[in-house]
Amino acid sequence: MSIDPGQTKKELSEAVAAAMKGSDLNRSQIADHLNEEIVASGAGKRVSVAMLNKYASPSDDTHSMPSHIIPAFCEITGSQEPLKVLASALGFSLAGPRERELTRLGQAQVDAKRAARAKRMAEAALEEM
Amino acid sequence: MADPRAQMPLPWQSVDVRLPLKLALRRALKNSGLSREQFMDAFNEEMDDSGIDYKLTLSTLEKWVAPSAGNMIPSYLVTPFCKISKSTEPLSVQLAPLGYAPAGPRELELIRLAEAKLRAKEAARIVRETESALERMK
Repeated sequence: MSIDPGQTKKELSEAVAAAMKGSDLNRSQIADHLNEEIVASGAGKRVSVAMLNKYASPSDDTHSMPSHIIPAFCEITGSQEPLKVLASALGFSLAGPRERELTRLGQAQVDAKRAARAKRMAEAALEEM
Repeated sequence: MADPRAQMPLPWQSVDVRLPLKLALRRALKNSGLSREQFMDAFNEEMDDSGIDYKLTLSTLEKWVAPSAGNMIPSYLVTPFCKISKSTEPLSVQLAPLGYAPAGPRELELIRLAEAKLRAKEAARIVRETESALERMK
């Protein structure tokens, strides 16, 4: 599978910008909330509005949102887009709780069909004995 | 102003993924079957192929996977890391705090199958109810 980290970086910046635009919080409030999360967890380096602006700029080649901030950023802005970008870069979609249960159900259907076929074959073999 | 964090239904899990991510990267690297030098070379080859001006050093790779080091892998480089290590765990670690998991083509087909079965079940229920209603009208 081919990947394009440059494209991922650009799409991630766009997703970060869109997430901030769609949030009820302004950039300063987002930075404050992020720092609450980061400082609370002892993660060190604080995030400033200037940093957020750089993370949200597709033309900025030198800055990209650090990987460990993305979940907190998505939680604070209420946007899944940055996570979608990361998943789709590897050919994946996001599966939430419902999709995971549907996956289990689908797998159970496949298993049940296989089991029914094995049952039919065993029954036919026993008939022939 | 409403805090959007309060509006998101979260299966609560810490959004601080620094340590889980480092450990996932570490496991992915270990299970890749490549030495750190080979991994670094493969990573840099991937960067060259993608036209990205980034050179991974052994020292940086060590820091990305060292729980005690503050250095974190840039988000857009998790993808090549996953590709080269053939592991989705680093991606999964980033999705998990918000209740998500990666779904590939097979999972998407299983979801389609399950949704079709649910629709068929609902249609069968409607058929039964309608038949009963028609019976009562006789």
